[in-house]
Amino acid sequence: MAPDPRVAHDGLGELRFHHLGFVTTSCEREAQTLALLGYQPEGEIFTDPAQGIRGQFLVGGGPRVELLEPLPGATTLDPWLRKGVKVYHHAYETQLLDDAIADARRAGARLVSAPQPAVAFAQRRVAFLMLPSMYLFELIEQAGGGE
Amino acid sequence: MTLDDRLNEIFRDVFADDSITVDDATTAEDIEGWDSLAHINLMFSLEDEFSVKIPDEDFANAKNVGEIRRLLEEHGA
Repeated sequence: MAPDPRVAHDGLGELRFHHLGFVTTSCEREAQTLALLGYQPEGEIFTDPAQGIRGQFLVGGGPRVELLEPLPGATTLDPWLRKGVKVYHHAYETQLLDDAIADARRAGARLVSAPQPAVAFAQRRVAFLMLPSMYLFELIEQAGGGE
Repeated sequence: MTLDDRLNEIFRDVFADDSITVDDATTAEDIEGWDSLAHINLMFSLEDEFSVKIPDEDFANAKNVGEIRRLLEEHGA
């Protein structure tokens, strides 16, 4: 049987692709634009003050997308907004978040945001790491992970 | 080439600005484009140049070039 392409089999243990992070100045406007490509909202817009963002997931037009917009006064997304970057991270679920982080760091990735509960995932922990090529990826603790 | 020379080269390369000259007091406020993303890029570049590995938290907390220099020296640069 061919391996499931959604699951990474090398490097960081078993990861399941979840979404592409898409930076924007307006979730509503961006969702309207991406509707042209077949995307539709998956759930309501959420706000995460700890991360300084409001966001919304979209599905249908391709890989799941997470739109992320900075909250007033928040600067987390500024480096990508300034550069006009749209897709700025890949995100994966993992059953063993701490192990996956350790594996990633051993492989040369740098932890840029330590695990913290995320509103988007019902307070499951997420962490952000940077690849040496300067591309960001997110690891999301699967429900029941770490047990 | 001294450590200062190599630091300057790295900063000029990362920020694509040959006019940059840093000293221990230089901070992110002094260099255009030195944001959180550039800080990480700087870390990767410095580690590569000096063949060292600096803990993520230590580099993230470095407030100026002087603190970056001390981290490099502490880790074998």
